[in-house]
Amino acid sequence: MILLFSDEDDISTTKVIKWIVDLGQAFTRINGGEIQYLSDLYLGKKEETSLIYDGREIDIENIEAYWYRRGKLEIVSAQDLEENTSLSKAIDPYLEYELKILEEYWMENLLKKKSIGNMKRGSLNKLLVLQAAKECGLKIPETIATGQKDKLLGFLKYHPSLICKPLFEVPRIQEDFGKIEIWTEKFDLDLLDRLGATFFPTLFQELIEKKYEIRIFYLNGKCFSNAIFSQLNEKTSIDFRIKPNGVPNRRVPFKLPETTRLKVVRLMETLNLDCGSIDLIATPDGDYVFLEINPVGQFGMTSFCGNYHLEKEIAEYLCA
Amino acid sequence: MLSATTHFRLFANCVLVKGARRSTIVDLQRREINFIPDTLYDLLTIHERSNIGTIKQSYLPEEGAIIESYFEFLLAKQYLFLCTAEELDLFPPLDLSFQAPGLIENAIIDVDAKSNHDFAVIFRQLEALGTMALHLRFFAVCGQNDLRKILDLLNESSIEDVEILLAYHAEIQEADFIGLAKKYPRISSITIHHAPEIPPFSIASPSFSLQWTSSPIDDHTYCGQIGPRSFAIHQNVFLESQAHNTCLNRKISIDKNGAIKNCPSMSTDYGNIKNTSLHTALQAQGFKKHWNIAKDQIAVCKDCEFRHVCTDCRAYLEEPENSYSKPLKCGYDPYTNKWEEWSGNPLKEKAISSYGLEEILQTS
Ligand code: SF4
Repeated sequence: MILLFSDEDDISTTKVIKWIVDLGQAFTRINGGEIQYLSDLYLGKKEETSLIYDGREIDIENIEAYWYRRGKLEIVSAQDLEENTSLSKAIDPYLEYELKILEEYWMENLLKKKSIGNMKRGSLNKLLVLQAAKECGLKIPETIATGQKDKLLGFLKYHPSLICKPLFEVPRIQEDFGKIEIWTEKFDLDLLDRLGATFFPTLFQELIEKKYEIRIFYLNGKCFSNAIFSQLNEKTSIDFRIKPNGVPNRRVPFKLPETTRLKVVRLMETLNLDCGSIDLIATPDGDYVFLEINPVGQFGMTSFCGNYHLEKEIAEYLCA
Repeated sequence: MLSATTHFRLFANCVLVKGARRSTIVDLQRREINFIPDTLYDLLTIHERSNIGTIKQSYLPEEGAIIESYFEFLLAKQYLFLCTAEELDLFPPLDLSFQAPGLIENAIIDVDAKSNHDFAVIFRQLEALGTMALHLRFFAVCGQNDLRKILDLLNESSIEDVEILLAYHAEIQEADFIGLAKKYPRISSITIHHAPEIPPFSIASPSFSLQWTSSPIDDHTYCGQIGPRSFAIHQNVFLESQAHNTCLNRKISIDKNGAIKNCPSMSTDYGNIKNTSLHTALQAQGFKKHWNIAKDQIAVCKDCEFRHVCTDCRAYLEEPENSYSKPLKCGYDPYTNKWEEWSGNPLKEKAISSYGLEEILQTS
């Protein structure tokens, strides 16, 4: 049986499942947020661990491989806890720890199995990744993280065009007053006047001129790439995720030059990632500049635009 | 003026298709098709790897301006981009291989007043085959409650898309259709036949459409019409059409009598659903015999600039005995680039009568 951790509405997971079925394998899909109970965990003369999910018992022994796409493994108690008494408030955190130990046991035993995805690495530290990319020989944008205006001004002297972006993931903030979306943005120099001597630590990078962007889906040593001509559509040329009005950006299969490919593979191996989406920029001077890695990124578009059959590729790996 | 040393590449999802008298660029990403003259097709293919200077040299000096204007058009449409010689190999053409999971992609079920299908059994068998899309065709009036009973069976189904053909029924009102579309999100379209002349209302949204036709559709013989309205500019169709039939590949049907066929309009059946499983029928010798008849092998179609966006039909043929002849109900001639009414063509008379289509032609 193949186990898949995902979201309810993730289409890529559904497509991979169709291939798993096509290959004659059974599967169980656990969608994030859905509840898993412990059935039993036996250690002694025999070893047995099973969960109850959606009324079915999943025995860890029967899991041949798993794909961690989204969501998380979370074990809860099948028995409702006491009402909100002061006693329960004191005890609850400890009960959480009890469950954590069970989760950890499951997770460690799952990690011994064949898998795709990085259960413990839902998000990466952008700065550590940039450092690793540089060490693997990839070009990176000149980067500064600072909350000091004088440092920013010093950086601006050498790199008059900057972008700023979040250090963590792209937040999607939904508030009563509306939706705040934070994208990678060109830094507006007019803002300088409004900045005090110190401000919240922020990541700035030199703006890299684009010929096109490259989106790579990496899977176990193989790179499947697209070139995205976002500069043809000015609106999207800083962050191609922002949809232009009407016409989609041209997105076509791309063959990564061998020297760059080897560096990307080395980077993923260094970071211990077996899959993920990698963004590069191809500059007008013929350089390839590394931007970032998304360990749980969407690959449906990369697969479709390159006709790479990635859903099948993933299913075949899991079922092999 | 373009620099003489610059090279170019077509975007991989803008694919050239050469026809007998003109060619097309099929833009698979933006889902558009554009005509180009064969001379431009030749330029783009013969000189795929040349730079602009070399291209201009191989034409007459006075043709330089035409070449410039060709490139202006291609750049404005974003069909191609300029690049260096080194970049040529970094942009491979689109891999044209077609792959899909499961044994069946789509199914047709025909229903008339006498049909007696066990839909629960049929749906279960279709799901086991991996079916994604379903076309339910009701030739006689079907009441709302009966329709809902059938659709309820699909609530947990892996069948993702349902198209419905329904006979006009004054009882079913606009609100009922909206209600159906809401309750059953799998329904992507409903077409009403036998409609009174002026459609009382229509609905078009990205996820659901309601259409009307005044044609009296009493059985399967209405099907197989080919024209611009049946074209699908879609990457999957384009890929599938390279080596497979764009109508019959991975299709299974149950006709109004329960006979299992590749398509209800075909004469051969592979058992009846009452006593044969779809899986058994599918494995029978001959069931898939039309699946790999691709446009490139079909007379006339193989010279047509629409062949990779066109649907096909092997049930109604210009030459009924020749499985490789052109679809009967296509009025296009790629050698003249003209469309005409297929049913008015005297050369088709023999085929029309051999399929018994005279009656439907008179009434429609
Ligand atoms: S000639 Fe063939 S390919 Fe062309 S439009 Fe007619 S049926 Fe389609």
